[in-house]
Amino acid sequence: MNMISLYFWIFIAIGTLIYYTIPKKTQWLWLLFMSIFFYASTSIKLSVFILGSIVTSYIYTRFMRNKIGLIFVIFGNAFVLLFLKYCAFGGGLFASFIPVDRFALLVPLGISFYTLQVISYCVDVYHKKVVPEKNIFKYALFVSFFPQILQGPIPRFEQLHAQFFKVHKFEYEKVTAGLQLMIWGYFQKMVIADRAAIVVDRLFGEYETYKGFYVLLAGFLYSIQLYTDFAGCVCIALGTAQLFGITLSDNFKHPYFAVSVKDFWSRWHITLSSWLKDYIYIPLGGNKKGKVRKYGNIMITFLVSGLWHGMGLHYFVWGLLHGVYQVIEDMATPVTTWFDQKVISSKNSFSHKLGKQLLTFFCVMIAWIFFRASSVSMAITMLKNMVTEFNPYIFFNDDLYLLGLDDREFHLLLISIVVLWFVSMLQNKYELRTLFAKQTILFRWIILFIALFSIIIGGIYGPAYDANQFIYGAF
Amino acid sequence: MDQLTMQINLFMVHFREKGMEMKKVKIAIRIMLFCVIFCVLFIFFTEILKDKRMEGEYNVTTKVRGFYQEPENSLDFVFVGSSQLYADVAPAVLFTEYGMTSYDFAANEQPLWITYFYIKEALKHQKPKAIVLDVFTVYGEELEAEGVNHINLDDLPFGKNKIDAIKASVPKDMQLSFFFEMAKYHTTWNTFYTDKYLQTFEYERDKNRGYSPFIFAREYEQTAKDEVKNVVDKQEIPTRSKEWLQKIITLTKEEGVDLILIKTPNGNAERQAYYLSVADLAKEEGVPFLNLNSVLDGEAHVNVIQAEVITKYIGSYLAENYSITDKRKDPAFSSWKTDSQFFYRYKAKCELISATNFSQYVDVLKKNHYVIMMTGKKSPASPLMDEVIAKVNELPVKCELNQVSEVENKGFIALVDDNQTIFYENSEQPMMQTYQLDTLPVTISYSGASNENITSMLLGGVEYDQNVTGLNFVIYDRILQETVDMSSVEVKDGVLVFTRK
Repeated sequence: MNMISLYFWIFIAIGTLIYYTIPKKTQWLWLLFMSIFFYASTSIKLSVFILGSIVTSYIYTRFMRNKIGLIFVIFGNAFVLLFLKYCAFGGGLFASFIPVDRFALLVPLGISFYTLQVISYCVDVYHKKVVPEKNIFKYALFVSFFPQILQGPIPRFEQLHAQFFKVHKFEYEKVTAGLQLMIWGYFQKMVIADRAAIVVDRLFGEYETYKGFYVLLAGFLYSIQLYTDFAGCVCIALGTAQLFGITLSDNFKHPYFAVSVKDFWSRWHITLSSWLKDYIYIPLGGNKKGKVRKYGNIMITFLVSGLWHGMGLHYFVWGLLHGVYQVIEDMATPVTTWFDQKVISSKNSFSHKLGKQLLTFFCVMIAWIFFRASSVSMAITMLKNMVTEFNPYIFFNDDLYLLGLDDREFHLLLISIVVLWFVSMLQNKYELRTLFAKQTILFRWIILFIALFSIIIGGIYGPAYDANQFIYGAF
Repeated sequence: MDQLTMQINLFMVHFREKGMEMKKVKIAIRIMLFCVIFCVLFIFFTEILKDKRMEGEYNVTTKVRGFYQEPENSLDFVFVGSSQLYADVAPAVLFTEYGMTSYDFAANEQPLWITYFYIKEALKHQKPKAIVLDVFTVYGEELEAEGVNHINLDDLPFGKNKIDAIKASVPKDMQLSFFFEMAKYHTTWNTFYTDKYLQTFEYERDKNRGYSPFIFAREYEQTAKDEVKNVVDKQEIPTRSKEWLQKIITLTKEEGVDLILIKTPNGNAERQAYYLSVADLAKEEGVPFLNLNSVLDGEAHVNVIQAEVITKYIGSYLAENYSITDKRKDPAFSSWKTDSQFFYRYKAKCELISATNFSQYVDVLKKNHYVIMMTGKKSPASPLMDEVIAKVNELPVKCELNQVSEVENKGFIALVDDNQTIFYENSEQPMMQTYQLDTLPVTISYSGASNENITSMLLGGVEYDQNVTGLNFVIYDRILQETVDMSSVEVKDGVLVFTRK
């Protein structure tokens, strides 16, 4: 079931209605039923993998709570994840060692997300940070809760689990806030991400043709596409969960406003970053065993992140780049501090902050080119092409309208990006949802109808265009 | 005191409960109001963005909307089928010749499984003497392409028939965009223009009653072509079409309305094999079948002149078999009289563009009540032939461009309205005349022999004159309210050259 399908909305509408009418004690069972239905509607056969994860981790936490058991359950789940991803990515780094055709399987829905969820739960149980759940059905709900199964956020047991078993009364304000969040998510996904994808696909697809500022445009639009696609989907997930009175962790804090790559990672895919920090970086020693070990740990953490995203070498290079960025940033701290203090007198100025934001965005964008490209050589060719031609005139003639979007479509994309930037600025400064709730009903409804019909009319969907699956669904 | 406190407490609880209930009601009203506004806006935007086919020959939106503008139970016959039907049968002819009222309730490439629901819709609003079905698409077995389905289904008013028609004609996985047309048409905001917005609210009578005039020059033979007439091998009607044809027969029987099957002539020998099978089926079911494909010459979409021939043929059959009250003098049907004029103006236009030489051209002009604007100039090197001038002067003007004169150049301007002379002038001096053609100002002028020697015909400020050294014509139709033709005649190297634009 696709989150941008009518079936999903009908599913949610009926689900919510029943949820608030059945006895409160059975609400969690209804959520479990919905989650099973949602998951199985994609593929019943592939449900065997999530079932395997649930059962093995449940058995471990209930009956085999020892080191061997932990190693078994971590490596078992990680192996299944890596193996299936290996098959899905056509072998990736290891294509020459094991022929992929023999294991041509589909990647089960959300495997990358629930695997991390299960591992963190097992480790936390082992370290006695959480009390293991005795009821396998209650535990199954934690793993399979449908709004977050597709693309996260990756929840922690202690943060999510208890919420399911509280009494959830229908609260108009909470439900409408959830719906508003979903609308914002759909706007990002359908109006911005899927529209930007048309140009991005053209520029990356014909990367040998498009040079100079076209490559810069490709990097910029892909950065926007990836963010709005992923953040949009997370907003939909958060909003959906909120309809049922469940609060999920937010995954983004305006990452492109970051002033350093380290700052970027505290704002981008936050639940993954904190997972990597808690279960990779800190167990490796974190920053407590000297600078060299610290840098090594950073590199390992980001390489794992790259590997988690995909098995291709270009994901590896993407992770490597982010590791290197952070190491350089850390090593250069004394120099930048000195520079800020001695050379730049007004280090808190708008321009200073903007400069840092632009530099960070540029570094992240370069890394995204590796992420989006189908190979490292393709990304390198694109970067070479970026500097071998100087063609700023493409922004002043009609050439941009030949990239898959005509002038009206292109202008709509630009306006939408400005709206995104404006809303992000407001969100950065205010508690926007509270502020919005305080406005008059007329104002709120006008904004909501504008947003709704911007999606319905300006969204990319329907038979004329096959809306892309959420990008992160494949990870 | 305790009792009082208890009563106050009870009152407060009651009040609070009441307040809670009020809040619930308020929320329910709010949700309902939001949903209602959403639905209204959704329908409004869908209607605005929906593709509207209101121009040219394939203006299905105009035809379908127009059908619902006809007064209830005012039609003697309803014609259904595909574009071959609406190109070949002109209700205006049936009205003018036989006093019958009818409508071509048809759409492009319409398969029989959609026609079935068009008939159901027709019978909801009309009680015709008969439904006349053109069986062109009887060869169909597969469901039609998405575009064809949209053209056929989009304009039907939402209701059970439309829902059933969608279910019968669209694969399940594609049905959503037919129920919610926004899914298909939302991207048209990109090509949105003001006329499209205005067309949203244009629910008017179709003056052609579903007929589409195809205006082009073509001579048809007097009978069907031999290759069509000689077809003897039958081609079985595909299962799906046969099933729906039988359903149509059953439906009309149940509704107590006659069904007449026809095939307008399309000159297609391959398809004739199917029509022979239709003849067998019709015989079995006791339904009349007029296969004009074996009787008259035709093609996919015949021109207006041949459409009149075909319609008259069908009309004579209907007049013979049905007793129809003549509505030509009935004031309730006065709009039919006004609207029927259009068909004959299309026919005149078709005749005009079919004229192959100058003499024929002038004959058509003479009989068809046009506004004829003329300019001319001569040069001694290429004087107009006497027979050309004589022909022109059959129109109520006097052109003198063939007369020998002392000056080198000479001009001529004239305007004839419905065979009445409005003005004409011959002179070597500058000349200019103006005329008000309904709302359109007309200025016809000649700059003078010694002043560039230019002729000009301005209609509403737009230049139409081809300015040849000879005669220039601009033909305007007051009923169609359009310039129907521009032509010129001149002598080049001693040869008469007649040019159309």
